[in-house]
Amino acid sequence: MASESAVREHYQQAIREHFQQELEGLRQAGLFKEERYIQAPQGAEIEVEYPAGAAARRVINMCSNNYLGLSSHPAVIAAARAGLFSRGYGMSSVRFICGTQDIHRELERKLTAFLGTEDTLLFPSCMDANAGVFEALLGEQDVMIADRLVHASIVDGMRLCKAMQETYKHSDMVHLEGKLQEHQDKRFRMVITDGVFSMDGDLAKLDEIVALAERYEAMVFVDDSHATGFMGKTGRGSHEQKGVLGRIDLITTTLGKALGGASGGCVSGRRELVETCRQRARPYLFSNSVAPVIVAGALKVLDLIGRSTERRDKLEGNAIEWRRLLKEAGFDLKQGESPIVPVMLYNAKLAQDVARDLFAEGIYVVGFCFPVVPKGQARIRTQLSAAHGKHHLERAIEAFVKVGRKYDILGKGKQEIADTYGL
Amino acid sequence: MAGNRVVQVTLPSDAEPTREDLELLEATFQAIAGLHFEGRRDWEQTARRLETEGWSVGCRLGWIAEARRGREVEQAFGLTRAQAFTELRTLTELDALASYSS
Repeated sequence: MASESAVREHYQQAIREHFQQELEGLRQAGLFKEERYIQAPQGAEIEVEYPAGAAARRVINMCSNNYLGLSSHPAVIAAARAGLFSRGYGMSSVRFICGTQDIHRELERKLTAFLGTEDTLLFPSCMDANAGVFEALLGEQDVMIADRLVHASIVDGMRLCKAMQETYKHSDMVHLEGKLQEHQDKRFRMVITDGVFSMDGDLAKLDEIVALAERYEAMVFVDDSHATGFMGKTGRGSHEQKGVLGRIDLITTTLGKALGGASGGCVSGRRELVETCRQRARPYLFSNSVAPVIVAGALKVLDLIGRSTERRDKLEGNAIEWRRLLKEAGFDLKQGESPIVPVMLYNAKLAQDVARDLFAEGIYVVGFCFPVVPKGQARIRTQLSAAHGKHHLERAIEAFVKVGRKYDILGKGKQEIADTYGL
Repeated sequence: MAGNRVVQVTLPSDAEPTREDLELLEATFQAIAGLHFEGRRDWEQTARRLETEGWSVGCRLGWIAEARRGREVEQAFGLTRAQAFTELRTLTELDALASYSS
């Protein structure tokens, strides 16, 4: 009979082999993600070690969420450092026990004022906010009606909730209205959407969604992570852009993109809904408090963007200019208003090859293919930043045109690219 | 499962059952078999224990709809088969695209 240790070793080896096979399967399918090591603060230009062990190269970064260019801003860093010394490194507690400092309350109040809502609650991340909100507020008598392209964290949060789950076709208001009519027998209805959809860069039709919600007595929830800080004339988000400030019941958003890029998230909205989350949302109750250094940095970010719209104006200008340059060069783009500009390539291998060649030309972008985007919709998602200058865009378009010519995709639409490369 | 026994039912010679008729008969017999051959009623002890803990307890027959694709598995429940499949459709739609995290 085999010894206990031999049995245990055999079992561990079996586990190891199973997951090695799964990982090899990912490699074979072209789905294995490799990290690239950045040897500098985040910015418009970064030093990247890729592949691992290679000498670091200076490249223009066009794939970060550093929309306002504040991720390494000296004033934000100074504020974070000051917060480190005045309020310490970590709270070693969840919020409601002994994890709330005066600066947490101050940040929540400032976010409330900035977003135009009644109250705000910080979470360790927007992912945590999305995981906790639905389950805290809704039950089996209620229904959640979500756009089919909502973020994965919202899907996870909906699954944790016992309310009925429904979806509507992406941005299809007729389909949404049908769902709202169908569920008039429920106690509460909640329409759920991203403010800006992260893969296509398009905006939710919040004005129409709010009108429908008010007609059919439904709450509106918006994850505005790719909009807070820069969409709308004063950067308050997609609700400002669409003229519905003050009419969204719940907004979740992140401090990890435009608002400094560190970490942290929040839910903001109607006072009673936010307070209920404070009492019941599990990620808030059972996860560590946002670190003081993050809070201090975020307070400075709000101060900077509250004083001037210069950065969001620059970002808007960069996005308009980048779209114009790409279009004139003959690239196939998704229409949109946000600084997310997808360059459509349709074929997965083509997207990976173009991204690789652009990196060689000094432009850091990533190719996206199924299952991240639908099959046959592979793309390179470029993202603009207020930190990008005119020279960055000129250098980038030069590289894009060079690579575009190499693959003969300029002036070509989906059918022509598919004829050459397949889908 | 090993050892499953199957009961066959002979229908009247002039019966012309539709697919729906056969599905109804099968579901009915399955429910009867499940309830009749339940054996020990340990579930009653569980129900009573839950009630002493403040739960209001109920039990009803329903449908489970299931979809599998590679590693993915979705299961949905409903009082009717239609409800279960509607829920299954929603679950598969929500995860049709694994949205990139940021």
